[in-house]
Amino acid sequence: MRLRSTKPYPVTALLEKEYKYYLCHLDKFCEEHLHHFVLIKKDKVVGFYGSYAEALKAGVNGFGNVPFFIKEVEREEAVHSF
Amino acid sequence: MARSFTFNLPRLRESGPTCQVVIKPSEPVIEKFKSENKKIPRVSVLALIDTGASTTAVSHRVVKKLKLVPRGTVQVYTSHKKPEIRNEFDISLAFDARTCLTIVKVLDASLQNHDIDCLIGRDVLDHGVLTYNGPKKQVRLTF
Repeated sequence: MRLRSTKPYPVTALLEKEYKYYLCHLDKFCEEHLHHFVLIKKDKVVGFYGSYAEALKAGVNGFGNVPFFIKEVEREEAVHSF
Repeated sequence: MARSFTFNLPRLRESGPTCQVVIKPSEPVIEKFKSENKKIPRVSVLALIDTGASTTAVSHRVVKKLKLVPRGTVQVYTSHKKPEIRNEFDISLAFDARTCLTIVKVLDASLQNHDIDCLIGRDVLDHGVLTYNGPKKQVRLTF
C-alpha cells in the first residue's frame, strides 16, 4: 500500500497574506531574529519567540483559537515531503 | 521512564505499521477551551507510521472534526514536481493516557486509504525509537 496526497483542496483558506508579508520582510527578520519564531497576524508582526510553543501560546492567549501565522525565521525554507 | 508500545499486526507488510492514536487540539488551545468552559473535541483514529514522511499529516476529516485553524504555511513535495504551499495546524497526539505529544505541527492531506486518518512522520519519530520486526509482524514504538 502506498499513501499519497492527491491534489490539494484546502479545507481552510491559505494564510497567503501573512506568508507574503513574511517573505517580503524575510531579509530584515534574518538580520535581527534568525532562528526565532515570528508571530504574524494579518500584516502585523506580533512578536518573536524562542520556540514554536511560546509563539503558539502568545497567539492563542492574545487572539483566541483563530488563524494566525507562525514561522521559524530561516534563510532557506525547509521543504517537507510525504 | 520510557514508554513502549508493541503493535502486533498480522498484515504488517500489506497494511504497513499502523496504530490507534487520539488526536485533540494542542495544549494551549485546550487550556483556552477550558478557561472558556468549552468542550474539548477529540478523535480516535488509525495512524500509519510513515518513515517516508518528514512531517506528520492528518486527514481533512480530522481537521474538520477538531475545527483546526491554520497557524502557518509550509512548502511540501507531494506527487507533483513543484512544491506546494500548504497550511499547517497544531494538535496534540496521544498513544495512551500517559504518552502524549502536546504540540505537534501537522499538515492536512487527502489520504487515499480512507481507514487511515493520520500519517505519523519523522518529526514525531524523532522523539522515540521505532522497531520494525518483519518476521514477528510486530512494530514497537518507544518514547
